[in-house]
Amino acid sequence: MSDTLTKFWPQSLFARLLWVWLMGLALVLAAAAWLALDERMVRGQAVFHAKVTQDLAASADWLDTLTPEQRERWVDEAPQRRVRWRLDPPEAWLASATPMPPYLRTFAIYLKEELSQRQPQVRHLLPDHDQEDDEVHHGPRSRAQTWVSLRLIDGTTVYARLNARWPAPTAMGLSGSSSNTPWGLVALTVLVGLALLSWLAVIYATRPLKRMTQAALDLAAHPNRAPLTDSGPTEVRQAAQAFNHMQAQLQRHMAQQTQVLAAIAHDLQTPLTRLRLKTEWVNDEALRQRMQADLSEMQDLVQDGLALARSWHAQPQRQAVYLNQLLQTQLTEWEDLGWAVQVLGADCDCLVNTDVAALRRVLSNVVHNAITYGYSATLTLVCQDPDRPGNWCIVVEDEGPGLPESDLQAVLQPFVRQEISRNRQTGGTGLGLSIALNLMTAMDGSLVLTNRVPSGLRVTLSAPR
Amino acid sequence: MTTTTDHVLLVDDDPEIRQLTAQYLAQNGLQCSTAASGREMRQVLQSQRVDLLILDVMMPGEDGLTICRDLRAQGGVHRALPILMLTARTEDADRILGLEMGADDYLGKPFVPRELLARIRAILRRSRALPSNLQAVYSPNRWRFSGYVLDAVVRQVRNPEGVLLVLTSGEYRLLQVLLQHANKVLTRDQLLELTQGRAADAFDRSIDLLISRLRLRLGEPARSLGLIKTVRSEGYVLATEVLTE
Repeated sequence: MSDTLTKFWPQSLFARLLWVWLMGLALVLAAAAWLALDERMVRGQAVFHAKVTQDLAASADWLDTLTPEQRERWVDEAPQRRVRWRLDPPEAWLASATPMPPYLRTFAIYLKEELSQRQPQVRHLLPDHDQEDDEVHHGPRSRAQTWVSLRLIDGTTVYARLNARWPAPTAMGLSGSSSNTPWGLVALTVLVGLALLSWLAVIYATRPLKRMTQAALDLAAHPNRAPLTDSGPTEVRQAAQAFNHMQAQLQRHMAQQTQVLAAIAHDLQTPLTRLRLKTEWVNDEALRQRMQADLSEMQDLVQDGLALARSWHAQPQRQAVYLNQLLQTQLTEWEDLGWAVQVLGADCDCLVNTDVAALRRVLSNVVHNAITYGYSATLTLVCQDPDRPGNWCIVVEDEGPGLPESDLQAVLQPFVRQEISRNRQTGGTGLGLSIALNLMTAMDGSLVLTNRVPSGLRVTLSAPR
Repeated sequence: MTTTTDHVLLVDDDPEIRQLTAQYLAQNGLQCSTAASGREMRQVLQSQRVDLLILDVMMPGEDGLTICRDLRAQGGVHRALPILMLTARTEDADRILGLEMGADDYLGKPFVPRELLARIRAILRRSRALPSNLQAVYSPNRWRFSGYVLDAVVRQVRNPEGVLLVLTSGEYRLLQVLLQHANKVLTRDQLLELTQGRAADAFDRSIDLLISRLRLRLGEPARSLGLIKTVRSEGYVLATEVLTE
């Protein structure tokens, strides 16, 4: 929108809507009024045509009864206010006639129908030079004159110049040719106008809402997404500010939550360390091992809980890295742990920009899961994800039983484990996949679980290169 | 297993942990003194011979990291003193790794006492077995060699194009050791001691495996330059100019 337009453009949504409605209504009403007026014009023209025709017919009837001498005298003496009669054609009659305007054509048709036996002809002529009369001239039409020829009963032709002021022509092509009232058209204009207006108004009212909806969706996916811009009408600006405030509050709450978790995790270390040391004085070997296992479990839970809290608002630290090289290094580590892991597609260099620490954590969680429940893991690196251009993709597949379709989403929730028994011996803390999902989301990526055929679980990781 | 009793000094701000750890280490044949702060630690160091320092990172006032840097500073009397760091496991991985700088080893808290004992013994063995010129030296923050950069603070290695090279901790440690002793031939035994704190048995090929993995990770141009050379029947050497910061 140009600067001059912006000046008159109201600032608030309320005023904008009001402006659109008022201006629009004015336009629609003007169009309707114009249509109605045009209809009146057509009516007026018809009346005028009838009157002129009557005049011409009456004079012609009178001339029929006169002798040529009497006719000449009558032509000279007759009042010439509206019609001026001549017995000989005007100079221009035989010369080329200027094209007739539509309103005259309408009249000519009407006249030919009404006085057909007098073979009337209507011509639009430039004025004779000898004619220096005091006619009142009417706008551009007055330059040309309207002549009508009529045949009298004895075969002679008389000519009449019409001096009358013609009703103003209308631009409507249908004027005069149809006397049907175009009320349908009027209604249609109003209807289309109102529909257009409503459409505009709704767009204005809903566009900011759409933006807000998108922002809310983005916020759900990425709590650290940049806030909304402060643009648009006042109400929208205020709403955006409120939204940004809400986002800041949410972030603050989440940060507090993480701080609390971190503080708990940190302060638990000292008593946990003490307990660890104290177990060394437990003489019962079996009891000591059980106590130490409990302590390890507590420690894992504290650590994973903290990692989960941190993953909620992880800020990816991207670096250039070869994914194939990263996978090979990870493979070495997994092999050292004695895990049955296989890496495919890592022969070619796959340079990406990603958060290496986060990705390593994701991979280790997902592979650990595959080993725990699926006995083995096969990783396939696809440097150019065919489904999502610009993304890389790593598919992790296991040989396990897979998951019921209904659980594919649920296991991504914190503390949900695919084993019903919630057996921590094999189950871990149940936070691994949630952490992995959060970290992938923070990298604008995705983590999707699907079942393999005939059995096994497939985890598809994908993120922008 | 030790002939003369090794003296370990534990620096931790929690009295109960100090007492319990000292008791546990004493039970396992080590002499253990304790200190609650950096100031107390210096008093002990001045008056007694200490073979190993155990430093808790999280301490009010002067923290373990500061103390470690201080001791490792060039010219300090205790710059070669072996240090084992106790770090918070809940810390970010990057920070934990960064803490390793300057320390000989680190252990996450809460630790398994047995593991603490094993680490202590490994460090003591290593420091005693190695000739003095291979003993712990102050580690620079950054190393540059043939276009590669090893950043010890964030524990990252980049190739000449600036692309991050992902190494396992073993590979990273081996590279660091090779850099610390650049242009010096290190035997397999020495490399094992320096990287893993253990002696090699006669048929141990793990260093050879680690070297070949490291060569693979470094890729080009290290391969064509012959950066890590095999010296027949002796060991390995990293042959290039190394700049430190």
